[in-house]
Amino acid sequence: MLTFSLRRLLSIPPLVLVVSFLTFLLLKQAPGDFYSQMEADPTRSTTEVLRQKENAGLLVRLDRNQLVAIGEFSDDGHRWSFADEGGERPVIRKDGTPVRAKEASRSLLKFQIDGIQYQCDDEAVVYRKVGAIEGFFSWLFNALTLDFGTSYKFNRPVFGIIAERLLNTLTLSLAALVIAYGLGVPLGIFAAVKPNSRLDHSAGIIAFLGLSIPTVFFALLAMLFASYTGWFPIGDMRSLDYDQYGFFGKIANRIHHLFLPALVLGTSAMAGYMRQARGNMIEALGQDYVRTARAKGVSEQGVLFKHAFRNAVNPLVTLFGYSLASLLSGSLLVEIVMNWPGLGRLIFEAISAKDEPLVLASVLISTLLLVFGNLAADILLAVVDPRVRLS
Amino acid sequence: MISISRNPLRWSALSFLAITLLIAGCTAERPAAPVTPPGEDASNQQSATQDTPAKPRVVRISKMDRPEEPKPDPSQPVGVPSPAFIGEVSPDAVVVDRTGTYGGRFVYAILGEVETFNPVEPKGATDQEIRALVFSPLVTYNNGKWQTEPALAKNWEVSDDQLTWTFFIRDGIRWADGEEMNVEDALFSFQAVFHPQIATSIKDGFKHPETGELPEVMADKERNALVFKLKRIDSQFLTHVGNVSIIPEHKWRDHLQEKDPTLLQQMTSNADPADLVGCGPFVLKQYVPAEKIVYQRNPHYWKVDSRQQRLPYLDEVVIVLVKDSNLMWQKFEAGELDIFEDVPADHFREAVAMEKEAKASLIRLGVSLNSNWVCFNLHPGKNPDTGEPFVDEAKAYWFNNLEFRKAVNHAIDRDGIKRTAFQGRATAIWSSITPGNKSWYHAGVPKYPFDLDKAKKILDDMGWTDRDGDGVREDDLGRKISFSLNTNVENNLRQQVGNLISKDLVNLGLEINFKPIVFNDLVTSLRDSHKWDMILLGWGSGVPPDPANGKNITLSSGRLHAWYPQQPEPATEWEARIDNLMAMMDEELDDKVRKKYYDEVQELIGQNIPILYLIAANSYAASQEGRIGNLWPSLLRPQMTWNLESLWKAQP
Repeated sequence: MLTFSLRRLLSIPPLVLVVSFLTFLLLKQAPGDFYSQMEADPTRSTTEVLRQKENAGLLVRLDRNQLVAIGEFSDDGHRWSFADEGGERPVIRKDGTPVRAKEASRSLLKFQIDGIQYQCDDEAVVYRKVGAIEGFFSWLFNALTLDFGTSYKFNRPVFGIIAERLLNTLTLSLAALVIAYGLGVPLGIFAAVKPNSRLDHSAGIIAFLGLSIPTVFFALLAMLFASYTGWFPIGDMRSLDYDQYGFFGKIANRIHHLFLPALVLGTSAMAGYMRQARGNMIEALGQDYVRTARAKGVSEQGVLFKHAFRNAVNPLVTLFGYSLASLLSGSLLVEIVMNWPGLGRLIFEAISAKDEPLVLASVLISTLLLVFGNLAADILLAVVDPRVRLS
Repeated sequence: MISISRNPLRWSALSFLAITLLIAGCTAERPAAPVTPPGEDASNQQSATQDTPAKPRVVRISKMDRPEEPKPDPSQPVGVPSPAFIGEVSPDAVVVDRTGTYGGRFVYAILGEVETFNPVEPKGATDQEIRALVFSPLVTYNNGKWQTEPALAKNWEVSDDQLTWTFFIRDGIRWADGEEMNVEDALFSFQAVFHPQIATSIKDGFKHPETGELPEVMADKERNALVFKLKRIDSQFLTHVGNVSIIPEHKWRDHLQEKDPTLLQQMTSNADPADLVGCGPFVLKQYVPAEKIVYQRNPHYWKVDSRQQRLPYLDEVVIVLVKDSNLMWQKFEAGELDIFEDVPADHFREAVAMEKEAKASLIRLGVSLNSNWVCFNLHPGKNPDTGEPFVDEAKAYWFNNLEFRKAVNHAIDRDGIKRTAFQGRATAIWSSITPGNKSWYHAGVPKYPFDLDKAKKILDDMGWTDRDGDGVREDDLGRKISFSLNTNVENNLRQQVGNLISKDLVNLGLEINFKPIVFNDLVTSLRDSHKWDMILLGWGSGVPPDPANGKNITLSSGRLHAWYPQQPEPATEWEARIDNLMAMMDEELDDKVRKKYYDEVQELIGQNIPILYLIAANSYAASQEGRIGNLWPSLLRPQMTWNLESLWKAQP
């Protein structure tokens, strides 16, 4: 088992590398970047937007020597060049005659030489655009020193921001997981023990409802329910007076807020587990060893839980491994609709705003969770099923 | 009994219903909002003592055409502030003509998240809005009166050549940490903004439009004044000064290094609240990411009311951070929020219902300053990689034809858009300045009222008729007039408007391919790839609502000069004239003369219609009935919280 785990762990670095590279490429391929919103704001000048891009590492400012080294190039029918004549800034020549910075910047907003893109601000300061590959390697290099970058949006190291939200999301998804397994598996088993009974049918109806109602809709219904009855808070993770409560008051307040979101998330996941448990159980109950056990005179409880259930549980354990990976991102929609201050919301906003460092860090965490979730599932499987040998 | 055991499901459902009704009956009774009829003034006066705060009277503000300035009411009980004020009132304290009662917690919500608390570069809209709670500028804009007024500076002087501005700082003002605020702090704040290595858009306004030079700033300690020497006359100088929040030098001196200053890495969203030292009415008490921001009274604040009581009245302000506007509305309906700014169209009916039940005041603010428009791509350039024109030849031929644009303008049924998409709560507009903008609206701009026959006649006269009988017109060279219309997919209302416009243009005999796309894609095609035909978007308005804020749109070199951005030189004579007029506006301090210049700009755009202004929605705000005193809602943002220091809350 040790060598198995070690081998799994060794496969992590190449996997992470590939995943982060693909994420990076996809982010770069989509049009626009984090600063597109700023560029659409009439009150911001090009100069300041480009300077922010430079600070974020998306652009590199060319110094005097690099400018001169560009040599002569043509853009929009004119010949341009930068010449060092000892002044404070290089002289810009348009078709051989020197022009003022302001005039040059109006023409040279964006130009391309040999496939490299350049941008120019209002004061004719020239920047070179950092390419996708170059950007990836500089990110990777920093990541090797455990510096995963600073969020463009928050101006802070990414893991600090993620840590703030991590616990909130874990609380919600673990509660949902407990509901999903705690209700789904027993219901599935009972349904399997008495197939086509009234219990089986009502469980089936619940399962189909859970599978077919979208989580968003369910969450909206729950919020309407809360606002009409007043029994539950309208969104949020805790009330505004939370800090004034005592210890038990705080716990009660949290549970009160947690109930609806966890129920919404849990019931939609529960349906799948219930159908899975029912199917496996029915299959196991039809096996020869169950008939043998019954013939031996084993009690019905013993047959169910010692023989059938232990054989039926394997796929559920595997599913559990996968559900670990979705712990962080699975609750996104519920978080938005029910105002839960979680990680899903943060990542979703980071993706839509193209806050690259934050997206990369969260993809890394999800990848690691998936790998460890699978590892945990395999190990659990070996524990519950003596037939499985990890080597 | 038998029937019960046979049908357990029905029985449990019935009992569940019964319990539900029972509990609902217990909780349905909600306490009514405190409303005191005006006749009870006398009794209020009797009980108006410091220790027994009686129910104060909150004037109902809805049903007014335009919210009026609240009046002071000397019968108002004073109440007890907690936390209490500290130290002496500054001899230069601003007197606000209001009365109110101390105490209470004011709760409102914003859509969005704090990116940084740093006032030197407030990134997002949220950051810009919340920085005024903690930090004060030298001068500030009064949204109620629509004018600039003194803040930390008690007054200012302009030299005869209009190049030297002197701001006299108030004496005896203290920072929230008790230190004295003086001209050094003001100087430090401007040095921070002017620092060459600090990237902030607040700096932009101060730059010389040609050379990029910044004004010189120096402290005159004897007169306790900050002196600016400008390189050119700048009509917007006061606005730019108002954008700079004053930050304490004693706190941040070491972070404004000459090389690689670390100031922007301070006061981030995980800063210690004690580090956020300002001169604003409140101090940060607690920030919980994605949940709430809690502020409490700044005990050193420098404004007093008409009874010489110190401001602010509110003990605490809580901003709830919400992601979803539906949820935000539900919170308001349930009474969790005291006010609701910018009531969206889809909650208008619920707001009216709340008003009828006397649960909330719905305030009609008038026509919004935000405009919706469509625009044709008039970019003459070519793609440097492929050598192909951004707009293909046939489309360029149609779009550059003024008569064609006139026909399109006449064919758009703005009244239909108003009725269908806005349910009647909007106004047709013919310029970027909507009728809501009292100071800059120009009624004399050319208008192109809906007249489909006239529009058809214009195209017929040019010979652009449908010759092959497929219902789509061909131009005089026989090319089918077909192009696409884009808008951003995130905005539902805009998609509806886009559909209506497409329908109108189909009626004119054009073929329209309407396609909403992601906002980022839209901005990229507008700015970089220039691959678009017709676009439907909107402009928001800044505060103050001066057209000089929109230079990036109006100037031919502007990045958002939508139809042909960042022109190397003005492409047409009228665009050159607009550039000139805008430059003249910059150097003219008299608003009457400036208005004349801008009227001409609006007329030029109206005559040449590079951009077709469509419609502006009506603006609404709501507040819980009888809860908040001294509200003075404004069309300008923030609508109701701009005078937070003089708002007070009725105690239940």
